[in-house]
Amino acid sequence: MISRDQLRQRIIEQTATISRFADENLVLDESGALFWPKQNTLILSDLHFEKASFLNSFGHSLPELDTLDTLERLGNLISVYQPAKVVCLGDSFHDKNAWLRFPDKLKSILLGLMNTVERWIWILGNHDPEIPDELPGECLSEYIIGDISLCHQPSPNLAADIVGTRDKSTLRNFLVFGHFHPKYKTARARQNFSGKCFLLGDSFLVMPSFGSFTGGMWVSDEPLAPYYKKATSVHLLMNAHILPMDLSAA
Amino acid sequence: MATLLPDNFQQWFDNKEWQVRTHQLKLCRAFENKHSTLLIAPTGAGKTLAGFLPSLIDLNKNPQKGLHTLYVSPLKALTHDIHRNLMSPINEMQLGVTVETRTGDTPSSKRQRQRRNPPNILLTTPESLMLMLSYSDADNIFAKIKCVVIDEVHSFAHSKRGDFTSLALAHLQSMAPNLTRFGLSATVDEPGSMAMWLGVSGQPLNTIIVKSQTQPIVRLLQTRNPIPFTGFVAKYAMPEIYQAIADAQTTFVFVNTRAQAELVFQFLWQENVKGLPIAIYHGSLSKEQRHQTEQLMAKGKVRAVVATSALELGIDWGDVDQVIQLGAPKGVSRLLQRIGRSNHRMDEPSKAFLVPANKFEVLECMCAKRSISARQLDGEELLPGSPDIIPQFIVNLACQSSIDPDEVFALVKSATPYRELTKAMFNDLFQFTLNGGYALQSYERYQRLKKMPDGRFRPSDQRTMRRHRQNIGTIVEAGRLKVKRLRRSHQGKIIGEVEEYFAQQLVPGDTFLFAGEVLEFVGIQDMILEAKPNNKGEPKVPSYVGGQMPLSTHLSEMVRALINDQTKWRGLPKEIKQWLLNQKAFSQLPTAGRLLVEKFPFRCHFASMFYTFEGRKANQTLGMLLTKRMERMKLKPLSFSITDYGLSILSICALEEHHFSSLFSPDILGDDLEDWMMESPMLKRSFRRVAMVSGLTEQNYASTRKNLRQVTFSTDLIFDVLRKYDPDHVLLKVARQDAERELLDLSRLSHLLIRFHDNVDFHLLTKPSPLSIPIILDVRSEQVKGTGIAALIGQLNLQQEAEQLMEDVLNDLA
Repeated sequence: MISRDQLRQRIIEQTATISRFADENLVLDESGALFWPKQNTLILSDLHFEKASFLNSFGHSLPELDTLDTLERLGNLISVYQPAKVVCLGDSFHDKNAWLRFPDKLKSILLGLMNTVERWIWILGNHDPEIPDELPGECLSEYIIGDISLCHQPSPNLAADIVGTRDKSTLRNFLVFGHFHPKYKTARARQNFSGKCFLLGDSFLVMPSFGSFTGGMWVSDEPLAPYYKKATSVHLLMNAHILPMDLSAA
Repeated sequence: MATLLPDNFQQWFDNKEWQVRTHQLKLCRAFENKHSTLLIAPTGAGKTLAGFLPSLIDLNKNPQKGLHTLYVSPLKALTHDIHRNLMSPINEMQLGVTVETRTGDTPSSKRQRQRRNPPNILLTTPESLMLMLSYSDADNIFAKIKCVVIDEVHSFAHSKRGDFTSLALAHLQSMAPNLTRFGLSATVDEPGSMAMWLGVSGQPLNTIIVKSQTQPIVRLLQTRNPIPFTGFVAKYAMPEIYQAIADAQTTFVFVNTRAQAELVFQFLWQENVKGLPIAIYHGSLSKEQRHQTEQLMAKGKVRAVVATSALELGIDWGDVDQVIQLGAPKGVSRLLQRIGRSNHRMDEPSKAFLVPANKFEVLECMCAKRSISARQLDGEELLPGSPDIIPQFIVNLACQSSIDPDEVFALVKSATPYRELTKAMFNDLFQFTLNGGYALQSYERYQRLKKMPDGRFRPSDQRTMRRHRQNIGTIVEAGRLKVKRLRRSHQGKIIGEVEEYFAQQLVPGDTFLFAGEVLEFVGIQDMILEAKPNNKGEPKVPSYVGGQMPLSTHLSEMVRALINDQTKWRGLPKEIKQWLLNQKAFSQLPTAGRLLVEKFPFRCHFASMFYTFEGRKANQTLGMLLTKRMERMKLKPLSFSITDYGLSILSICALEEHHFSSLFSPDILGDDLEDWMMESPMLKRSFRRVAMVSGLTEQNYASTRKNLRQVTFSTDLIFDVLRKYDPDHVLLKVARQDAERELLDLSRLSHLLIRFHDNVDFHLLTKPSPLSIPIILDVRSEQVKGTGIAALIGQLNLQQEAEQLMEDVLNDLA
């Protein structure tokens, strides 16, 4: 696990910050990853492996470097936080044939990474309802630790509970999910700043996408807007820093 | 020479009581001898007729089926206008000549027919020409073509669109080797560079120059209200502008940007107590809206039109008796061109008013006015062609027939802007066109072109061709969304386009100005921005990328000289003289040979003003270098903004006198400037353009998808990944070259620093100086990627909270 001094250093450099969620201390990293010290768990969302090669099969000519880059950044994170457990929150693979296109060299990099941690959990997402058989790790649609549920996206009912559009809430726990790829923009000194972000409310935490060629959705766009309205904090990822936004000022 | 004119033509001239002009006859002679020629003449000199007369005479003598003459204009509207004008001699002389237009607006049934049965004279735009050249039967269509007329050459010669046109001409010439090229141009300072541009492989064409016989009458509009420090719409002058419109029959009010057009149009209507018909015209309005204005104009039913450069080229809309230029003219040639819109007769002087929008612009207007009296024009150097167009061109050639790389290379080099393209660069671009040209591509990938058994290349499939044709001419800078004016639910009319960037800034309920009215943003549906009329609230103004025009170097030097020399202040408005005197008293006036630097607190931070008078390129490059050095000195620079006159840098810590020695150190090798530039927003902007033009990302493809953001991601991400893993990739080189259009080369940068070093007049001020105000309020600034931003935007109180929580969390780390 990451040492106290290293974590302190990251916080001072604003490459990581700490947020209270569900009575837990969670580390939000500028890379878009979430680290849960008490559980020694690293959580990432929406890796979208082999997205470029997927688009290229439709006639684009993008550089197929996204998987390599995503893996490299993932590897760096694992060596920084040295977690016992890694949870990928779904949409890890961009499409069901992604593994067939996955270059051999990168397959062994991924397998090597998986070997360095004790437990690896693949949460299933809408892009990857199945995880390649060849891959080790557990496949789950939801992973619950204590009061916190980790999933790709909340079910419609749960979503309604979170945003308070249902009369009778069945919400029992706290939800961490991805899927929406939230982005945030703000203006300071007459300049616009924007980037991926973490979106936190009392009962939910929306993760930014981690994959190298993933786009995003503004928190004010329709699918995210109900969450944004209920949000208590937004952390902007920009220029290799994580910057807490003051929502009351906005 | 008069014998050249056939009887029926002579008769036609006589009936009109016109004299055939010498340059018109010279072009007839040039056509007979197949001498490609550039004609430079002022507005009203019968330039268009000169361009078509040889073809009409030839078609009269030797009637033929099929295409004889192709006319290429930079504007769709111009082709319609020329069509109208050309039909009168044809009808009056009863020449059996067919003329048609073909642009992006032409319905597909008509296009199909034009392919089977082309008219004698086809009037078109570069994009439509390129599209026609991609048809497999293009050699059929163009088999008998004898002449190509390029209108408004001056508007092509210095732009990417010009490079594009030049390549299209090269392809056309390869199909019709005996083609005669005629270029028509307004008066410019450097006919030589345009004659080269129009020629083959940089060989300049014969040039005929017709001098203007009259001097335009140009005046500064006198106003009752004082001229403000800042602003760009000259609201203070509206009563006088309105009065001038009311006093004249028809007026063109020229502005520099579409945003200005919308605002000025609003202000004029607020003044419009007499209810005069005043219209608006700019390139983002829908075709129907523009046609409507054009027609009203032609019928003389409009008293004034507020217009952008979309109206500036040779459209003849009848009798316009005055031109008002609002805002700085930015270049003398451009100003003359606009002024020439009034009074389309050569022997009477044009009349124009200049309305500066702020105090700095008064200086510019004054210099432009003096320049016109002294008949000094500004010219630009010919730039090397943009390489990002070449992949598009390669695919275009391959759509027509199979290609061989060596043949294509020779063809590209025959286009003047590309005459110095290296084989190595071409090979990289060809490889990129084939399959992206990535060094590290991992699996058997899709290829745009495939190799045939005979070693030549063809597009891989129909889809490639279809997609290419949809994207031809994507020289566009940004994605666009159509604007629908809602009447009820989702029903309404499309009234024009805004840039995606602007649309993204809107939240439902926001109001903005468009097509002359205030609209309320409702939402975006299937790539259409929906809005409904609403007259409440403070409307925003759509911003359009590329709306700002750089000042010509010639004018910026004149402005420097004007400020320097008090004896030249005669004729300046009193308040401007006072402004300059205030500057002298509060700080100092910039002097020749020294660099004036001022530092003052501004908006909670510090602004440093550098009055270089070196033009945008130098200021942009200096801005990058100086912020890089300030970052190293821990001054936490936040942003810089450039104007034609200087550079202002905003930083968290203040610049002090002792910084200057290292700030202006001429040794730039230790700065890793190249890396810093590659990180800058400017390079990313270049890459975005290059990615779109070269076909890496495609505009039309995205717009067919409903959920745009699921598919698209910023080209910035591609840029970063390429820099990391494939740093020699051709598109990075191309982006770097593209940015160079806005940058100074490093040796010139060193020379500049040597000049500044030890020659600085530094003033510590308590507030902004009079001279700085128009510059610091310029809203466009460039972000600096550094520690300053994190300090600026990260909320300190929240950060402290995180640090408190840290102690707690550290206990979680077992």
